[in-house]
Amino acid sequence: MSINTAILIKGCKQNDVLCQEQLYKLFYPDMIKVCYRYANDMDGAGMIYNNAMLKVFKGIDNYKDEGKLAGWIKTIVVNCCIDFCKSKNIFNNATNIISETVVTILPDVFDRLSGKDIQQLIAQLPKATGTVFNLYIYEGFTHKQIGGQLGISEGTSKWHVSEAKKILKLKLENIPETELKTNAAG
Amino acid sequence: MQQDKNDIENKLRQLENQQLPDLSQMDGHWQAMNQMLAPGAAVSKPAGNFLKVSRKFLLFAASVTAIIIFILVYQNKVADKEKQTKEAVVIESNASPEKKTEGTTALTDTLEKPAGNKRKLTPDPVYADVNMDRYFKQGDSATVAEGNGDSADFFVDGNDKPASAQVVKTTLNNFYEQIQKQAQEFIMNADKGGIIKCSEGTAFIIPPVAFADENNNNITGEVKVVIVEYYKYSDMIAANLTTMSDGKQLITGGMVRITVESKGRPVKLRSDKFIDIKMPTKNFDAAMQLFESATGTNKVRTGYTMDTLAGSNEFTSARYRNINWQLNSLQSSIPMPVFDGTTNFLDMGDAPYVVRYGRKTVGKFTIPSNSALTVDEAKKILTEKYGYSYDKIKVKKSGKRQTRNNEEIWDNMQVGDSMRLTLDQAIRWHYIDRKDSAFYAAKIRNDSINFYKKYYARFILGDSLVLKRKLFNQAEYAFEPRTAVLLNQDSINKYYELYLRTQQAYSFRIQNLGWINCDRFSNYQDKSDFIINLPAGVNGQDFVSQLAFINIRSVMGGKTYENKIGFANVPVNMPVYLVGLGEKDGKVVSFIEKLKTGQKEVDVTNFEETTAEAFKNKLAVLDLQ
Repeated sequence: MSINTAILIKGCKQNDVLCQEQLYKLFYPDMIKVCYRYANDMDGAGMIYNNAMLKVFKGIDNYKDEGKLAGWIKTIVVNCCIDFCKSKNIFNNATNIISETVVTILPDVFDRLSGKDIQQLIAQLPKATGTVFNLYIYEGFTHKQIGGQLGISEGTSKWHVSEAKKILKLKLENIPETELKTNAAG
Repeated sequence: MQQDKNDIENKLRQLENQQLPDLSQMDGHWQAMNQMLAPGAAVSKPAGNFLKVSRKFLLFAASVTAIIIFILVYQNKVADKEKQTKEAVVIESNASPEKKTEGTTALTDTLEKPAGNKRKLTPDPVYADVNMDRYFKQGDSATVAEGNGDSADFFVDGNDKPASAQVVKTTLNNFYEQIQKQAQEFIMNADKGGIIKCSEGTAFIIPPVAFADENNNNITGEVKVVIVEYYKYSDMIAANLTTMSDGKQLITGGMVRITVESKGRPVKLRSDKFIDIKMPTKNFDAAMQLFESATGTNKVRTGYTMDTLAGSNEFTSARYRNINWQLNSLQSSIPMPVFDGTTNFLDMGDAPYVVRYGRKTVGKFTIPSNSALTVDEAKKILTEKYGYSYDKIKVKKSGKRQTRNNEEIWDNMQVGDSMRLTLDQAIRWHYIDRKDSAFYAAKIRNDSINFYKKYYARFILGDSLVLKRKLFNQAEYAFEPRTAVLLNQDSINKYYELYLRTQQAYSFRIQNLGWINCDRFSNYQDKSDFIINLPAGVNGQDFVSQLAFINIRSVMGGKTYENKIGFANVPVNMPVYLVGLGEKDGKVVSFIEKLKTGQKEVDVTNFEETTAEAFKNKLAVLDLQ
């Protein structure tokens, strides 16, 4: 942990607003991306991040695992994202699905895409499918962990990921060449 | 293949990492965060225009806080004045016996007609000598829990209430919302009916075409069945449920709430249909009967089920829930024979009873005389299904079904609500599927068959009870072979008791959706009233309190007056948990105490500030008893 971060944590423990602001803005760029994936709009993403940071500031006295601040904050942010999705009740009517189909997307396709293109495509997925896909691909959760967090079976989680890939594949095949890499810098 | 899969996933992650974040709103978000960090600010909630709402909310919160502080200061001043006047009255009454009598009269007036700030300034009543009836006959503000559940009644003299009362309402409402048990939702096809088994063992056997809308039109297609089971104390108390019927204590075998929606609208059970319900138990009690919610039933009957309809306050918040359970007089306490493994299914797969060939091919179908479907409805379904086979489809209703030995003879040529299938057949022929919760049905069938293999009892032949044996498996017979013949009354009683002990569920037949309670009346004779004294300055109306009995499964609700909570006709010498949840100084507080009934009054001071999770954990202790 750098000296600066240590100072920030110390300041946050003393409820120093300046330190809180610095810490907030330090992790904002990385974490807002995570939040945006689940909220699909900046207002929602900001709300998730704020709730997560409120938990961080309230619980920072208990933070002892020094050196892993980013990981700790990311865990809280991801949990807040999951809570956000749960609050939308997107998994309430989910049925147990166990069949998983293998979908193959040629990696070359991605060379024609920017991160924003992919983000837009993922945002168009059904909410439940998109959430599971994000947790699996970007947060690195296993299907078992996803099942436990969202109250769905492991098989259903696998199905969502495979379904997401299937939909993405269809969409990728149908995107006109001209629309790709519209904003490669993000 | 696996390599490709990993490549794709890595590629996606790479693209994500390459993407630059949108920092345009960082300062705005920090401003919102900064406001949240201010003391007393709330956690942000989703909204279309997040920042604007937060600012408005904070302004509103600040003004409410200012009003509350002003009222509290004002109240303190009034209280001081009251205290001074009271002391003056006491001094005066000691000096003059006549004035003392006058003071006693005023005390009675105060108890019977509490009128907020306008009441007479009299000495505080000595509750140990006060008749409890005074508590329970307060029609107005004194009986929070006794009202009909409508929040308007609670705040009947709302103009005189301090603003903090409104805050209490919101805070406790929110808290109750957080601790509510999650409902189980099942999607089923209303045309086919089906069997639903819930997570804690409650089973519902729903016949085909059982639901209708408020205009009595049959509901077809998918419906959502929403069920909440209340078998544990923690669930009952979190839902603010008590087991009382017209002031009499009940002992419960569990409570269930069932509602059904079609396309987001609540539906009702058709008047000519019923649902069989089985409620699990480990200690079967033959005296258990079916109780329904007195306040909820009519609403359900008219098709307006709870929770989903705006305005039905008594169901919108558990905070004000106060169900007065009413015995369903149509139900006998004798349990129904066990589920026999078959049920009716709507069948649209049968052939027409005759086909006329000519220039046009006409298929003629019959449906049973008592079919749930009208001729037109059946014709529509059949046309959709077999329109390609026949130029014309005709449907008529058949005459009454023939019976032989009181058993109906099923006409194979009929279609529509005419089939009686075993569950295996129903599943195999896809009349019900996983979505219809059919996978639970197979378990019920197995349970049922296992039961048959052990004991079999059926109530027939008018007045007398005859136990019969079913010849499934000789090796597993519990009865001696002789008992299959005529039995004397003692033997009947003996085997009936034996039969009851094998029961692991109460069976009822319901004709209304809504709240269902399996109860019996408590028969404890030695009872007394029981008062909880809250600390001075704490308003009893800000509390919801219950007594949960440890040796029997029963929950009594408390009624509040000033800073006291009263329980009437409580069986004495019974170990109980006293559970209270309320608001003190703007915070949600709770207390759980283990007591023995029989004491006249108990002081409770050990409030603890609580969160939804902490309170649920506390309640879990009650389930261990």
